[in-house]
Amino acid sequence: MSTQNYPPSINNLPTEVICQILSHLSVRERARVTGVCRRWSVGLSDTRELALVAGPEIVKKISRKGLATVLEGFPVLRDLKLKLHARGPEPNQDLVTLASDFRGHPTLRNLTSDTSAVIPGLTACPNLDSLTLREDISMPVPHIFNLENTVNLIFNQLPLRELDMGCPLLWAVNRFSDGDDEEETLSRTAAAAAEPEPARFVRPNLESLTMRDMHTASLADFMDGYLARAHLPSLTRLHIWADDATVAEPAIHRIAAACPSLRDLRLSSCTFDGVGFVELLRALPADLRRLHLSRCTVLGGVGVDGKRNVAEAVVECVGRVFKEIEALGLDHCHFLDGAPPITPLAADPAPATSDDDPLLDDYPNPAPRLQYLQLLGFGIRMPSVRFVARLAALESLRVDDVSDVLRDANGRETRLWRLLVARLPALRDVDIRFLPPDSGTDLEPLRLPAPIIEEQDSHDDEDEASVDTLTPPDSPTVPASPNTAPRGSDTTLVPPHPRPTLPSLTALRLTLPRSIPSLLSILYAHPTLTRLDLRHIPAFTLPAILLPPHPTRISLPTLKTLTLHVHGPRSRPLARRLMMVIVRDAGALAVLRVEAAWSVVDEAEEVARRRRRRRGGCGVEEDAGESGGDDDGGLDAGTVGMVMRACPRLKVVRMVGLVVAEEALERVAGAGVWAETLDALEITIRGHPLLNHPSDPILTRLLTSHRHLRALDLCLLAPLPPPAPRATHSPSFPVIVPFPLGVGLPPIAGIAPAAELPDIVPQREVESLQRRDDALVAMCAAYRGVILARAWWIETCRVWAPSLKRERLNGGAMQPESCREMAEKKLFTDAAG
Amino acid sequence: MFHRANLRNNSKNGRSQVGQNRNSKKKPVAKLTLITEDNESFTVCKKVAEMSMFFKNMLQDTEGIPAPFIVPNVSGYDLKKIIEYCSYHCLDTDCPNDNDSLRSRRDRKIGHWDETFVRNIINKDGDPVIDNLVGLTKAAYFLDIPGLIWLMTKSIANTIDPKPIAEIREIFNVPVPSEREEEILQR
Repeated sequence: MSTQNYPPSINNLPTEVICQILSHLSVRERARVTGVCRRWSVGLSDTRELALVAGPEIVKKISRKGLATVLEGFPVLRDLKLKLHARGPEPNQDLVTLASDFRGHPTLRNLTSDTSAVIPGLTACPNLDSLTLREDISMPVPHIFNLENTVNLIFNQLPLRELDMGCPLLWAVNRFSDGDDEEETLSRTAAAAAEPEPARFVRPNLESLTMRDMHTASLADFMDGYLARAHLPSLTRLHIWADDATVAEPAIHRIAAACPSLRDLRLSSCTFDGVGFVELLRALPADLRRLHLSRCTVLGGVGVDGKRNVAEAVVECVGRVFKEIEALGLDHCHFLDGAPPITPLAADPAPATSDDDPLLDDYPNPAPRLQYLQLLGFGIRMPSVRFVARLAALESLRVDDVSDVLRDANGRETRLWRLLVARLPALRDVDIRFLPPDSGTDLEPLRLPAPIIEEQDSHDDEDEASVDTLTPPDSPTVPASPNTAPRGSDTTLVPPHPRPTLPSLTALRLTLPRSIPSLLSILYAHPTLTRLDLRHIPAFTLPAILLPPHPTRISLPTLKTLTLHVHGPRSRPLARRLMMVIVRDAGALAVLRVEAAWSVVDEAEEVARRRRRRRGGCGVEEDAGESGGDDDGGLDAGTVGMVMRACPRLKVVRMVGLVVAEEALERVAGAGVWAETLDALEITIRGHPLLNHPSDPILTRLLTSHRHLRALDLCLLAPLPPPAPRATHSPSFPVIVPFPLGVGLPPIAGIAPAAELPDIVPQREVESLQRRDDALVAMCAAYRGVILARAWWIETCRVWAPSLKRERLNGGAMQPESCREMAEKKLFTDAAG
Repeated sequence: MFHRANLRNNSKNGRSQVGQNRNSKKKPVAKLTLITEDNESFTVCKKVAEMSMFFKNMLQDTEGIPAPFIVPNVSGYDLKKIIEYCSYHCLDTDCPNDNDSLRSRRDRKIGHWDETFVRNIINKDGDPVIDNLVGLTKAAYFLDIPGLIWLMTKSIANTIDPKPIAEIREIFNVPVPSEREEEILQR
C-alpha cells in the first residue's frame, strides 16, 4: 500500500466531497466547523433547512451581522424557522431584532416564525408555500403598528398552500373589513345570506388554513370580512382555535359557502349562540370527513329522553348528518338545555342479544366509516362500551372511562377488553382514561381480564406448557392474589383466552389502570405494541405478581416508546418493578420515560422515619411483606445493568423520582452501551458529599463517555449524611455530622406528615429551609459550570434542585393571568412606549 | 491519457474474448483486469466493476471487456478495499448506489457490515489512520461509487462530529490558519 503518494490532507479532496461530508452534520455543527478552515465554509451553502433559535450566542452574532446578509450565504434554502428558545431567560427582543431584518429569500418554501416582524419581508418570497406565524403573547410587538396592509398581503397576494396564523395582536390593528364603514359591514352581515356579493378573495391554491387565538371580535371579522367574500375552492382543512369566542348563527353558514371542498374542520373554544347542535351540523359542509369540536358550547342535548346518554346521541347524530365521516373528536363540549334535544335514530330495533354474551347486540352501526373516535370530558355521560363496540370500522379509540354500562339486566359484568377484542378487530390505537374511583359515581371499578397463573410442571417444556395451560373463555379465571400465586416455582402467565388479541394494536395508552395483573396479561397478548403509555398507575400496594421471581414473560420486541407514570406511596418500587418486567424483552426500545410521583418532603420524611426506626423501633408502619432493602426507590446498579443489557439502543432516558445510585452511574459510564445513541438524559442524583470538589468524578466520566448527548436535565438532591458510626450502638443516635456548606439533611423529625401539616409553618423552619435551598442552588451552579466545561457538546443543560421551602409551604405559585388580560396589558404598554 | 491508448490497442483482443464466451454453452463470468498505478493487479467480475459508474460508462462505451486496464490515481490498498466493498454490495439491492436515492434517505444509518469495513480501515496497525479514510474517499470519488462515497463521507463526518476545532485540525492535518485568516473566519 502506498498512500504516501497522495498527500492525505482532507483539503485535497474535491469541494463536492467536502460538501458531502459536511452535509451529514447538523447545521449547528456545520456552522461551528467553518472555523477549522476557510474551505469548510462551503458546507453551509447547500443547506436547505435552517432553524434559528433565539438565545444562544450564534443568534446574537447573526443579528449583529444582519439576517439578510446571513441568508445570502444559503442560496438554496427551503425551510427557515425563527424560534424562541424554550427556556431562555428573555431572548424575545433578540428574535424581533433578528426577524425585522428579514428581506425575503428567492427559494424559500416554508417559513415558521415566532414573531410577526418578518411580515414586511414576505413580499420578496415568490416561492413561499407554507407560512406559520405563531406569536407568543410575551413577544414585544412595537413593529405591529407599522405594518400596513398585512391582511391583504398574506391572504390575497402570497400564493400560499398552507397558512397558520397565530398573531392575536395583529387582529387588533388590522382588520379584514378594511376600507369599509362599520355600518356598511353591519348591513352586509345582515343581508349577506340574501345577496352574496362577488368574491373578493379568490385563493385557488390554499389547502390548509389555521387561525389561532381568535376572540369574538376578530373571529366575527374573519367570518364576515373574509370568509363572506372569499372563494377557496381547494381548501380542505380549516382549523379555528378561538379564545372563548362567541359565534353568531349566520357566520356558521359562511364556512360551507366559502369552502366547497372542505374535508377537515376543527373548531375550538367557541360558543355557538342560540344554535342547536343539529342545526350546527346541518350548516357545515355535508361531505366532511373529519370533525373536531373541542371546548365548544352548543345548545341542546342534556334533556335527551332519560335512557340515552348525550355522547351516544351525539355520535349517532353526526353519523346521520355526515355519511362519509371518518374521524370525530369531541372533547369537553357543553351541551346546554334549551333547544330540541338531540334525537337518536328514529326507531331502535329490538336488541337481538346473542346467547353467549348478552352485551353483544345487533344494533346498526351509526357511523359505518368512522375510524377515529375521541370522546373526552363527558364525565359520567360517556357512551357505553356496548355502543362503542358497534362502530366496527374503528381504528383509533380515545375515550374516557366507558365502563358505566357494565352491567346488563342479569347483573353480569362484562369485560371491556373482551368486548373490544370481539367487536373491533381493526383497532390500532387505544387510549382509555379511566375515571378516578372517587369521582362521585357509584360505578363498579372496571375489571380488565384477570390473568391466570398456573404452576408449571418442572419436566414440561416451556412452550408446550404455555399451550397446554390455555383455558377456554368460559372457564373461571383464577384471581392473581398474592396468597394464591405460587412463588418460588417456575410459573407462566397465561391470558384468559386462546388469542384475545387485537392483531394490529400498536399504541396503547391507559390512564389510571386499576389492576396490574390484568395490565400485564394485556401486554403479554400484544407483542406488536410499539408505543406504550401508562399514566397514573396507582401504587398503594405492590402486587405480588411483580415480586421476583417474575412469573411473566412479557416480550415486546417492537416496542419503541415506553412511558410509565406511577403515583402513590409505593410509587418508586412499583415503577421500578414494572419497568423491569416490561423492558426485559424490548430490544428496540428507544425512549424510556419513568416517573414516580413523590416530593422532597416525602423524601425527608422517609429519612426521618428510617432514623426513628433505627433509633428505637418506634413508628414501624412498614408492611412486613416487603423486603426492606429494595424499596428505597433508587435505581441500583443491578436494575440499570439489566436495562442496559435489554435495551442497547436507548436514545431518550427520563427518570423522574427515582434516584440513580452512584454505582449505577458508574456502571453506565463504564459500559458505554448507550454512548453512540443516547441523546437526551433526565435523571435525579444525589450531589457529591464533598462540595469543595464539585467535579463529581463519576458524573464527569459518564458525560465524557456519551458524546452524542444533546440535552441534559439533572435534578440534584442534597447529599446523604455519611453513615453514622456503627460502633457506638447507643440509643442517642443520630450523631449529626456537620456538612460542608451545611447542605446535609439536618434532623427532620420536626416535619410532620403532609396530612397533619399545620396551616402556618413556623418562621424558624422556613428560614432554615431557605438556607438549605440557597446552598442547593449554589451546588447546582457549581455542577452546571463543571458540566458545561467538560462536556461542551451538550446543547441544553439544566441542573436544578427541588426547593424544600416551596414544597413545605405547599404551593404559593402565581395564578397565571388570563391570556386576554396579558394581551391587553401588553398592547397598552407597547402603545404607550 | 496513457490508459486510453492502452485501451484502444487492446480492444480487439477484448472483443475476441467476448466472442469466445458467446460460443461456449455455459457462459463464463466476464472478468476485468485492473492494474493500479503502483503495479498491483486485480481481476474482478464485470458486475462488481459496474458498481463504479466510471467503469460502467467505460464498459458501455467500449462495448466489451478491455484487456488489463490501468487505473490512475488509485493505490493498491485503496483498490483492494474498493473491490472488497463492491463485491459485497453488488448483489445487495437494499443498499442504494445512486445519488438520488441516497439523498432522499437522509436519516440512513451505517449498516453492520459497512461498520466493520470502516473500522478495519481505521484500525489498521492499531491506531486510527484517518489518512486511509481520506485516500479511500478520494479513490471512491474518482471511480464514482456513490454508495461508498456516502459511507466514507458519513464516517468522516462521524469522526468530526463531537470534537473541538483544534482537535479536528490535528486529525485531518489541516494547517492552523494565520492570525489574519482566523480573524476573517471569526467574522
